[in-house]
Amino acid sequence: MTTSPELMPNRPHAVQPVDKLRKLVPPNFRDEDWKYTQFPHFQQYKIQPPSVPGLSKGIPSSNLPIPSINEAWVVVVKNGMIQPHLSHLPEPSSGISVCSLPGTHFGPSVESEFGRGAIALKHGHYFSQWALEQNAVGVLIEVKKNVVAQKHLMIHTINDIPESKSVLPCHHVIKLGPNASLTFSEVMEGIGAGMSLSLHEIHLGVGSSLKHNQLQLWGNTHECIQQVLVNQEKESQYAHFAYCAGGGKVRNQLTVSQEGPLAHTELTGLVLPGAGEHIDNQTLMRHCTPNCSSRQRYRALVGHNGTSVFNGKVFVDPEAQKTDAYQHHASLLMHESAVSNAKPELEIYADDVKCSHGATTGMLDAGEIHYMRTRGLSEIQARMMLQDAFVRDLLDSLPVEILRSWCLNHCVDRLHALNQSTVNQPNNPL
Amino acid sequence: MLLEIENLKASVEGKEILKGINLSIPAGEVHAIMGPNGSGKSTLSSIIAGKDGYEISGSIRFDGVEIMDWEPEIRSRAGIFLAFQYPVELPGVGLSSFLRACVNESRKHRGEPELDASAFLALMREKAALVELSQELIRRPVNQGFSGGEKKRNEIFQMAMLDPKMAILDETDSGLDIDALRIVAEGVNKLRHAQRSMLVITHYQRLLEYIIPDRVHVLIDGAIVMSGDRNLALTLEEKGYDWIRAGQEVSS
Repeated sequence: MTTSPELMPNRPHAVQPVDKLRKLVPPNFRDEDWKYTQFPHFQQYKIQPPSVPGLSKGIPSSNLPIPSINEAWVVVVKNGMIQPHLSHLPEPSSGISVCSLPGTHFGPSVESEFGRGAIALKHGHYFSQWALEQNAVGVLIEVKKNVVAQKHLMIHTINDIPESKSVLPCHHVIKLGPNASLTFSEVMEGIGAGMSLSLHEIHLGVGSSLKHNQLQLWGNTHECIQQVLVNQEKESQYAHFAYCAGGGKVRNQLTVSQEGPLAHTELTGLVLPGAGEHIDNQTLMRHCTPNCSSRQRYRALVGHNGTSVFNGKVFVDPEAQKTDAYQHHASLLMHESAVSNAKPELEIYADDVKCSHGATTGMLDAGEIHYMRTRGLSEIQARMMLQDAFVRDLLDSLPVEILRSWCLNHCVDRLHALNQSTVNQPNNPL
Repeated sequence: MLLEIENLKASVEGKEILKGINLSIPAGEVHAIMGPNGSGKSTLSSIIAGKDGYEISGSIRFDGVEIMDWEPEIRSRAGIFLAFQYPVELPGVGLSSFLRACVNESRKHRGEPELDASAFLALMREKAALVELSQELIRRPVNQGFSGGEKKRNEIFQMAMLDPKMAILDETDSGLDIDALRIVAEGVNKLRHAQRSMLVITHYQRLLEYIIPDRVHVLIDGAIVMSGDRNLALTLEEKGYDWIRAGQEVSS
């Protein structure tokens, strides 16, 4: 088994020279973290060149939750490049800057080694490090010290990668200065059978707060590997919401390090894989300092022949006394061919902490459905209502109204479609 | 006759539970079924409400129509209501949105227009008062975090909302304290009228002091062995079921 650096949370890693990475090999099924999700032909993938800014003709789909420019700054990123003519960027007076990240070479605004892959080199997996090596393009977002963003910032990502076995690597950097605050959402579209590979490095300064929402709307043949790496300083707050509505093969890794006391983290995810779709979410929550807290809530509603994978790790370092960590994963299988692999993990090295975790997997309860039918609801109505209840209270915690209402509607349509395709299967529970 | 059951037999995995039940309930009457544990009382009520998983034969006619093949939701919409002995919790499903969907399905079935939000709220307030169910409980998911008594009151509340022709109360008195029993029974009594029949299943005569039945039937070992007026319940309370069993042996 290849041991990835993240499995050794208590041993800080020095920044390694890039050429050392070349010795790493892509993870395979022998690696516990990649047991259910592998990309065996990755080394044969072609690299998709980024789009040229200004050439993109427009936004292909209009039924997405894109807010008006009064409500939000909307930045359109086509194949890794900001499309300024389609975007409404923050004004310089806002204290927020959004610019292209041309590889790992920055202008003077980025301090020290942050953004040059320092976090990724320390905690990134093989694919993130590979993206760094490719000098992947992306977006750099900076919020200056003490700036509380007056509007919501949205990035509308359109990855058009028609050919299978081609990959578009992207590298985004988000940096909040001390006491800064931002709500940042990403609406992510993946078109074609190619792969979107992205690395997010997020650094939250002392007392800062980032609400980070991702709507992953990948096509059902699209592949995605994403790693979000977050460093939290003292008293900072990070809330991540993931809505994963589909994708051929999706692997999301969320790695959060609380490196100062009184930091708080909320990780929430809703996963809805349908037929032939495979969605894998992995979280790694590292509590390194005292008095920090974290909440993780993940739910998966899996249609026939769909697969959900969840692996959630919580590490509590010996110094991290008074940690309060909670993790829960629930999956609801809509058909006997639906698969859910869930593994909650806790590793605690401190002795005065409160940590709990749990995971449930099952189908809808026949007794509940019968009870509802005796009150006049049809079987399909009863199922829809129970499924809706399963996802709704999670969606209620999505902090942006336009995204929340869009996701609720999208979810209902998706549940209809998943139920419909389940009804057409042999051994359907209806 | 509103409900006519003829020679109803039911078995599970070869074990016969109901051995030929005959029971007729005219519109507006309240009938009680009493019987010892395991005699088939709950099975009978489940089968009338349409629960599957039994091998059944015989006939159940409701309003003159054979309903043995009907799905549970069709029976419900047609006006059969079963108050569960153990009401089921529905995680995350709000009571008011659940009931609104149920009430509107019944209305659609009867060819009536759906209730709008304000009319529905008004109806809900009126019916909740009947069983003293607080507005706070109505905002919660169905039966989630309800006490035993609150669950039973919620069943009667749902019955009031759905306005059935035939209500079956399966051991509604079990698990209730004296005050809750009175509240539930008063709620049921307020729902009695000339077009609504009830079948009250109970172990004890106590409930029948509040809900006065027109007829009392005794179910033992899957068959109705004795029927009578309300005095039968008093006799049973006094002498126990062994008195009937002994009688059966003598007569056989």
